[in-house]
Amino acid sequence: MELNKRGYFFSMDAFIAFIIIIGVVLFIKPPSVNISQDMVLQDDLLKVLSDLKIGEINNTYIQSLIATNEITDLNQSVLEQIGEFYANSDSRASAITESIFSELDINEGLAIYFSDNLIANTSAINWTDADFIKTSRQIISGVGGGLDGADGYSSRAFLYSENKIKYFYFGGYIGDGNIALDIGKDVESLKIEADFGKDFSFYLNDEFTKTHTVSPGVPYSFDLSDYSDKFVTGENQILFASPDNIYIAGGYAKVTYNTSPVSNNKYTFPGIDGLINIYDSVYVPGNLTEMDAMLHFNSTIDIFLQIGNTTIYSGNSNGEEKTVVLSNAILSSMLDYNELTGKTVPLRLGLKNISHETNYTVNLEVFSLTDLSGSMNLQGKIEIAKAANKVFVDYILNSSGTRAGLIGYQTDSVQEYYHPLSTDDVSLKSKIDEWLGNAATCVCCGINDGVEKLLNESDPGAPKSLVVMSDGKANVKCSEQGTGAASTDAIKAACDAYNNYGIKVYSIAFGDDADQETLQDIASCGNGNYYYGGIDQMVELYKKIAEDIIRANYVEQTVIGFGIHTELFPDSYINFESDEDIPYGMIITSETDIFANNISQGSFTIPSNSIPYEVNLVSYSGSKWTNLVEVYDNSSGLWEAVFNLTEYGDFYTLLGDPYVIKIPNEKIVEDNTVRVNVALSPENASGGSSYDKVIYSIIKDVAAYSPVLPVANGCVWHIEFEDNTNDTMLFPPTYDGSDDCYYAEDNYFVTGTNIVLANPNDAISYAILNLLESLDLNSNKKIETKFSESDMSLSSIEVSGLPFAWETEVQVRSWQ
Amino acid sequence: MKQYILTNKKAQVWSLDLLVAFMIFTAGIIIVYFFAINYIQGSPVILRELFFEGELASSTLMSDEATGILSSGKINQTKLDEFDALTDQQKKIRLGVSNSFYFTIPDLEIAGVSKSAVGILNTTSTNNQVQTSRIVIYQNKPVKLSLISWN
Repeated sequence: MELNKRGYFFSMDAFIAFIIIIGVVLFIKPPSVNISQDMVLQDDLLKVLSDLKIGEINNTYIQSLIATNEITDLNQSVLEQIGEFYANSDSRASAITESIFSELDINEGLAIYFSDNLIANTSAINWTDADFIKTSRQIISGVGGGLDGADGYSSRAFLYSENKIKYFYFGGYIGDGNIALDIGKDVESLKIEADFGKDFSFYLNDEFTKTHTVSPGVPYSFDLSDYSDKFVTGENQILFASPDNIYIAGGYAKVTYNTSPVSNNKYTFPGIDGLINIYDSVYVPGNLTEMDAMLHFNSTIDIFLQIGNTTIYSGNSNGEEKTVVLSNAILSSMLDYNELTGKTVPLRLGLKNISHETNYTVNLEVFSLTDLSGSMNLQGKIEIAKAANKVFVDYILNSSGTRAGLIGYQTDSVQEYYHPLSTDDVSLKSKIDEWLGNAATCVCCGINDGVEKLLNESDPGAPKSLVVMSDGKANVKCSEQGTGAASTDAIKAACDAYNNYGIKVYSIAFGDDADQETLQDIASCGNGNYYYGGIDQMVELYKKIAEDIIRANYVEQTVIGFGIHTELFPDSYINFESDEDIPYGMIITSETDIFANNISQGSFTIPSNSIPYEVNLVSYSGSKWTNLVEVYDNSSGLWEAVFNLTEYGDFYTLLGDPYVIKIPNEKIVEDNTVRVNVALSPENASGGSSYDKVIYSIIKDVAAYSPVLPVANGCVWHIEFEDNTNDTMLFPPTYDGSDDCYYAEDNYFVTGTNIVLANPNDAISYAILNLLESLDLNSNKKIETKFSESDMSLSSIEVSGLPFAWETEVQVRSWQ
Repeated sequence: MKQYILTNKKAQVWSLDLLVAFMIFTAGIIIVYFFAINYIQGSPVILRELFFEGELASSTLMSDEATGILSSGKINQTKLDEFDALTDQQKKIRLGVSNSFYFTIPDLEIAGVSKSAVGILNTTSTNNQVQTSRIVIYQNKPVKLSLISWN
């Protein structure tokens, strides 16, 4: 047993030593070292393909292309030739690259990409699995085309959707009766906004749609989205009808067409079945060269058509339908075409001597509210006021059917100085003689008492007015108004009178001590007129006021015609021919908010990179005339008139009343301020309606072109709009490829860029991109103007013989 | 007899034990030897040097300068012939390398005669050898140039 143990002794030692040696060897083995060669193949390949001319290359396939003239520019490099094929979407780009690779006999991974599109590679190994990847990049560009070169393409893209919209503007007053309007063919939609005088039933193509309840003086709007199936492909006509004659005191019909728009240089008369009574305006853009007119009507009474202050037609039809054609020869002999060019000109079509023919009576009723405070005793003002009131009574009572009343106010309305509504001028003047000045000035007391007495004494259907005169400041408050101040109580009393009862309040500032500001606000809120005068002018002023009040009710009087029926047919028109150059581009129409103030002043901004095409101020003047429209000149700090009715005369009832006042383009800057006043005569202007606003059209050159590029294929476009909606459209609509292009803010999160063109050498995509960029008014990668695929017009022309540029990035990747 | 036999058996055990121990120890020594040899022969330092010289040689060779064989980005046959005509030492000096090298190009011709390679061929087995691949224009064709550095 011991022997055996000794026999293993050396072996065991050796074995242990062996184990130690192995352990030491394993322990001292150096860590693996990765030694790799710096790859330069990608650089070499890029250089080789750039240095070698396509005409020189020793490659069977390429030489065959040269032999068959498929490659013609032998002096360009192999890389440029591949690029040209790629830019033309020619599969030979890959074919010649693969041919070159096949002769390289290379084991390393090597690939060529053009704009991230793989052209060819040497290895089936996916480079994404590689340990090392190296990329060399180079931008190559070239010029294609030329007499012997490949053809190029140039594309144009433009939108025409907005051009399909037309505004039919009603005049300042269209009446009185059933009102019809021809709105043309291929109507897609219709929106109407207007100040209607009475409730009406609306008919579309003789089919009843709905009865509308309106508030006179407040624009009422509605659309026909629920009745779109009633539009016909032929001529469409709308009709506002009522058993009582109705009128429209300003407004418009906004018509959207399916097809190209109708001419804008034609004034179309509305049809009127009742009493022809139109106050409107015309505007001729450019230089007027020719015009003609046609009136189709039926009236036993003479009608008259007046443009500016020139009557161009007067006559009747003897109770039969009649068509009157006014040729250019006739019109040019009567009108100065230069005076009609480039500005708003009033147009009036009405019945002549209608007051005589209708034998109507006027139920106009008015109270004169006279300040009889102590200050009226100074400078003999009270005697002047008495004389003026007597003249006023005479003038008011001079018209048949009118009644006048008297109220004197001091600290309160003085009942002993009050005279009820009456036609007895002697009694009225006798009461005036009793007036004495004393105590304070309570303007609101006078107005409130006048309202109460009008409501108690007047015919409910009669137009009612108050004329309030003061020589000082209101200094007594009224609990009815309760504003806390005498002057604001007075203003509020006038507002309440008009807003609650339709009573118009006229105001007169008598002398320099009068509170003109308060009196102006009284007239403005009371929808009347404001007058100012001294002692010497007061009598004349009261006379003027009386005339204005009568005139103010002229319109209303004309609708109360009995026993007369006239008819104007809606095919009547005035056609203008002018040399206006319509700029190329898309017309984008927008409306401002209403001015919402009694001075009728508003502002609007024209977007940058656009030019104004048609800027219209719309004035809801009610029964008054739009008298003066001014634009603020930012450089001079002055208001500049762009329309002044007094240029055409002082007697407004014979003049047209524009609802639309064109502001000349040369007056338009980026930031604009305009104001309007309305009047019954040149002397009594006041602020316009708070509903006034500006409707403006701008022209943006949204026709976009591409340079001459190798292909014109198209793309699937993904577009984001300003309202955060997205749409996918094919441009052109026949495009059946799979390239995706993006113009969308949200796209950034997907692709890292907002704009992606699948192929920058595609002419159509390039044109679309340019178009979208021009439509993106604030450059936020969202398009302001909504459009659909069908709104886009695309055209591409094949260009031969013209050189075109192409450009792309080449990447050569090598990997192991 | 019995004792003799026992004596002989005892000697045999020791001899066998010594023999086995010697074999085991010898195996360990051999392993250490081969490991040490291989470690020294394949050291990264040498390979790195070969790689560096391969890249240097290929870059110097593929230039339009006087040291290179290119003109206008293409292999100039005249320059190539001249390079081939240099002695081995001159070739090393031209390219600024100390290790031996040769390069191959498809369809290589020298002075109108087909040739497999240009440079200093390793006729015996080499311990270290690296290949550097480049792409170059030869005879108006993009080809692969393989430069082998060895020592």
